[in-house]
Amino acid sequence: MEKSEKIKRINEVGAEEVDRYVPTKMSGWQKFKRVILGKYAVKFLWGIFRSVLLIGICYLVIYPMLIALITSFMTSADVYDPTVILIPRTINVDSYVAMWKFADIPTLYLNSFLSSAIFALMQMCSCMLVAYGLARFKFKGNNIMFLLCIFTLMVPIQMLTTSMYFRYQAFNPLYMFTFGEPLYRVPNIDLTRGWTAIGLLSATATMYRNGLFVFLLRQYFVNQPKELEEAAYIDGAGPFRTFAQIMLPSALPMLVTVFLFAFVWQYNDRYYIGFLNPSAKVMATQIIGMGSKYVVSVLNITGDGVLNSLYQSACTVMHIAPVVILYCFCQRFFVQSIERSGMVG
Amino acid sequence: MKKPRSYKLGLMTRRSLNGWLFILPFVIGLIFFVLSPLYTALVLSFNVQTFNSVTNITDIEPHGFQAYIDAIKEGNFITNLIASASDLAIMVPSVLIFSFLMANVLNSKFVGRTVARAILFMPVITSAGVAASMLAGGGGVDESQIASMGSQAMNLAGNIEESIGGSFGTFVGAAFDKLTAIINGAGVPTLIFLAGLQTISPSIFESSKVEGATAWENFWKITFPMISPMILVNAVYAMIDVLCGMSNPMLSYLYSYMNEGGADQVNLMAMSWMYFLLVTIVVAVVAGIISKLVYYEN
Repeated sequence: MEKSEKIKRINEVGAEEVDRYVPTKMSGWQKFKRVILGKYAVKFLWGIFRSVLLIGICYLVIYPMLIALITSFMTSADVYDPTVILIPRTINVDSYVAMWKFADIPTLYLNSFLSSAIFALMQMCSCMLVAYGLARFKFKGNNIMFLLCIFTLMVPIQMLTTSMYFRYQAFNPLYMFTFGEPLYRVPNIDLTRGWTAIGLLSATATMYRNGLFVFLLRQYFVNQPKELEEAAYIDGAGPFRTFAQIMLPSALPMLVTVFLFAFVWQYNDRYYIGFLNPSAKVMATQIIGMGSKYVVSVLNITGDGVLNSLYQSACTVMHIAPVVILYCFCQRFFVQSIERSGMVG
Repeated sequence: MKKPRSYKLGLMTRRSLNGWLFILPFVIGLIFFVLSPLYTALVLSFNVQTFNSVTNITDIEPHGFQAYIDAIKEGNFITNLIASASDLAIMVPSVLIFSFLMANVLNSKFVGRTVARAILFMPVITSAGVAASMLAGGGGVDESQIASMGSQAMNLAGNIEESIGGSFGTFVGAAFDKLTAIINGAGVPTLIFLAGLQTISPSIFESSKVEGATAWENFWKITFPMISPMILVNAVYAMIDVLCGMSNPMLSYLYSYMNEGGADQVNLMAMSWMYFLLVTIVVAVVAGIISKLVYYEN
């Protein structure tokens, strides 16, 4: 115990109390520390260990992005030159200019941002409703519904592609569990064109990893004090009004976090869009392989991996930059929301 | 005299109805977009679908357990299953230990903590979907082209492997490869552990310090039990991430099998369903075992 603390403690509880609680026997490790290392040496070593660990891991995280960024600024001469590592001779934005026009990036950006924002918002809304219902209302089957929510996370979506396609290309809510003839005699909707299917999945909290959002929000609502709600009920507010006016405002950091997750996962989603809306012109489905396509069709060079990587790096940077910027603005909420949630499994 | 408000339901009934109203979106989604495809896949794993050109209607013929037997006999399924299992055995404990360590480090005060937190949680966004494959695969260029890129290769593990050389180089390269996967997988678990650490009230540590407990004892007697619910959550999350993530060997196999020309639907469905059942059982059993060890304060 430190001296100043000891004095403070003595003032609070009296000298006898404190003396009784000071350990009289030192363990081997403590003696070793006292004799060889001293308190500050241990702190110093721990500090060094921590810095090395953090810097190393940060490097591993940033490395691929850094390489993509650097490569995208190189000239084609730099890319071929083996003596150029990490720092390009000149800063060159040709690859960006070329890809901006060739891949029609403005359209892709607009479509991607709009669709991701709308569907992320829908996912956030549906998940918060479900989470609140699971957290604050006791009804038969509450726990089973929560388990089923976690269960939806466990269904490997790739394996369902065929059967999802089978159902969605001739969608009729009344014939979701039947096979054979009647299925083809009823009026049905083709959900595999346009955004309808993804909209429906988002609105019903069954999009990619939505079970996780429900889990996070449920934990948040479960740990909020009950008194707030009870006061609102006594004042005559209904459950939906209580939810919207009392519970939601304080949940803002958590909602921002969920929105960020949903936005980023939607923005990066190639799987759902790929088979439910294949004609969509969005970043996720269009940007991959754009670099080599440009090299082949415009520059008329085939099979040149090095040159491909130059143009593809520009695409990678343009794809990732918006979400990284968004993340930088939102990450404050990110940690805050979790800190405030008082989450206990 | 008429009874006032006799139409009104009891309080508990109303509460439970309101509850169902709130979770209605999920109930609809569960039935139409989760259970329906699952059931379809199950039926199609026992029946062969054939297109009848006379009636323009798809007929289904019973196939029995044949597809399941074929899948087990065929070998690829078992091979990928073993690969998935070994992935699970390596990745889940590594992710748990790593994220717990990181959460503890990020929870202590030091210069540059905000920056470190921002960078360490970045995999949450960069390890998702297309961004991940672009960053990992050198931006959508195929393997042979990456090899020809030489010093510009984006693959850090490959670089290290090359520069060390020999079987030791291969080992270090593989370890680095796994390390990157662990860091990418640890984003969300670290966040959840950090949240757990924040909820432990500092007064517990103060009183244990007064009693003369060492940091080691504090860790095992306070931090560990208080964080144990988070271990359950993160174990489930990490298992799902490994078993249902895009880079899982089994799922990549099923995906390539599906995209292959002339793939046998019934076999695909049978393999998918077996894998899905195994995943559910493994997650349920492990979660069951861990939940027995969890300490709940209340």
